[in-house]
Amino acid sequence: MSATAFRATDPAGTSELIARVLADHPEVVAALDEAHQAAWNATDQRLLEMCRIRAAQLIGCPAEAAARMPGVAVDSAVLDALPSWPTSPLFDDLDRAVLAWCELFVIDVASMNDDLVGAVRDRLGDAGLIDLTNALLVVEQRQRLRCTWEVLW
Amino acid sequence: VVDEEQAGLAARPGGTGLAARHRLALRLADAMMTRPDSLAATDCAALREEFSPAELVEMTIDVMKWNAQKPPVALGVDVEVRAGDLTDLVFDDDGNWVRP
Repeated sequence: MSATAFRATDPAGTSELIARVLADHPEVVAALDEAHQAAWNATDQRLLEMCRIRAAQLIGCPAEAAARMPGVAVDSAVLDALPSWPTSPLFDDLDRAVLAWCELFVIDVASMNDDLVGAVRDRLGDAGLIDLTNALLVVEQRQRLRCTWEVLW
Repeated sequence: VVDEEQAGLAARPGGTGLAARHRLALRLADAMMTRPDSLAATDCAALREEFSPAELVEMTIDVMKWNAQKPPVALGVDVEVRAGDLTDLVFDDDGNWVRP
């Protein structure tokens, strides 16, 4: 990562929870943090922030849904309107393509279809689609881990 | 080691036919992959009774790791290892998958 790389913080506290639960496994904590940083540096951060919050809403992770990533410029009105992205005028064609694809990735990836993937690929290119896919996996799985631990303990 | 019979039972709804301990583990995995907050309080209590905290952490990290299959599925590149054949899942001593 370069010296000017974006440093993703974690206002929702998921990183702190991971570090606490995995205190005896610092190498795992470091690997998860590295993946987190790589995700935010590989993608359009505005798109990833919208996906992160929408994923949290779908998974049922209120702390993540309420948190906002510092340093990522997204209008708060846009984030507040995420549940109504299909009809809200605050979202453009790229936003809608990404959010439709994101929702299916989170809820039922096996039902992913060429139209949804193609709509994102047409706008971001192959590399952009691959990077966003892997970045979404990272932010989504952190939320699932966090929420499962919170339910268990 | 999970044999074909156990794998088949795990694929049934609720893991019918598996040991109670294994059914509990499946409920944990299912909840984590859908809605974690769908895990019933009784299941949480049973999981804490049946498994140590370290085992629960390991299972959840494992589930997270295996969800790395989502990008290949989403991108339509989840090709079969041997087309048309089931393949054994084999790991080396470091836990890395060994391609057959």
